[in-house]
Amino acid sequence: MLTEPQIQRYARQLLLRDVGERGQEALGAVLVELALPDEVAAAAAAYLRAGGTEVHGLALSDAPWAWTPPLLEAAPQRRLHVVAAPTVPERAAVVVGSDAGRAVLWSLGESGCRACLADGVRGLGPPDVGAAVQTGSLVALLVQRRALGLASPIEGLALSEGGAISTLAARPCPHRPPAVPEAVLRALLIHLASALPDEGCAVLVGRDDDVRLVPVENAQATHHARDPEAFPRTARTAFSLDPRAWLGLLREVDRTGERVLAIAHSHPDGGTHFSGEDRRSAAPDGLPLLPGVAHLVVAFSGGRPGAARWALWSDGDFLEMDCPLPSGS
Amino acid sequence: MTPDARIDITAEVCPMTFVRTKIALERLPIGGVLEVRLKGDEPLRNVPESARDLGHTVLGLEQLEDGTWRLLLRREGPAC
Repeated sequence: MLTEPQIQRYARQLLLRDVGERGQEALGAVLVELALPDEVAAAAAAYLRAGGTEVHGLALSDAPWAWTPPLLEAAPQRRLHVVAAPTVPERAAVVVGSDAGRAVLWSLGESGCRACLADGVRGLGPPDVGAAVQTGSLVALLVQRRALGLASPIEGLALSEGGAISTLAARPCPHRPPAVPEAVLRALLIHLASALPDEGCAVLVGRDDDVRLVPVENAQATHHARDPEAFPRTARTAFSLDPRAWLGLLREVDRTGERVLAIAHSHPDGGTHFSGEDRRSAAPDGLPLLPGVAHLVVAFSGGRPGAARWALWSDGDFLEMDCPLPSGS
Repeated sequence: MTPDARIDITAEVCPMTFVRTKIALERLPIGGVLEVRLKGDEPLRNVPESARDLGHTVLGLEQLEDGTWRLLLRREGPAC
């Protein structure tokens, strides 16, 4: 509960829908540690302190902004570290840099992907102190959004030389598999089981958290029958998305605004490994045919799904990670 | 109707009139009723309107014998 002096001091922002008493308490529960050039840090510190968030300086600075308060009113519940590009320490929550005359800032939450933050920061130079006040205000904005629980897992802002502010779209995270609802996973397992003893295949498409299954016929048997030299494997050991269905699906997601999230296929022989053949098919020349699209391998044994693994393209290779299957599947 | 909480903002001026009201609403559970005593044109116009803008319900507004007004608000959630 805020004290009377705090209510008087923060009256204007208490009126904001996204702040209120609880939001003001959240702003006060954060301690921001700034490791930025003095000019930018001074501006950020001024905006943050005016909003009720305390600031420490990590830089070796004796500038007035970097004073350390002798005693905080309460121990901070969260510490947010703001650093200057190109360094991105493990605990950085906000990174400030510059790119071709623009100030570029990225903010990462606890559920955000740190590898995506590193991708966003890659190539940025250190902050330009020429736009220190505006850049500092954006640091404060990103920190306050994080403190108030308004921020996306990862979000970015750019400030042009003319002063225009734009949001930077975080690309779909290629480092983590999509979150597939249990009901969709169950439907996938049923579809793949229906293809046994052949490999089955399907596509997962979606928008944000709305993921759906698109069962697709395995056209490998047809390809093999037509041209066994070009397609030496049968559908028992290989899959090939039916080309008509695949093209139709691409047109559909283009129309609906969805994305292809993952391509799933089964291994009827029991192995979940993303095989050499799988890798060659997904990245024939060492580059993924479908950047940002995950692959899911479901292994069957004795006609039942045993385990599943994701394969995600990252820095030149496919990383594999387990995909927990619904219990009783 | 018996309110769950009461505040008196007759001695306040803008913006503290609605700051007090907003904080008092936030401290109530959803569905709780707040009685606000107020006077003067500005809060009479702005406090009910601002409460409505935030999604709360104005249950009643009546003038009392001493010339002040009694405003009853119901906290709606989750926005404050």
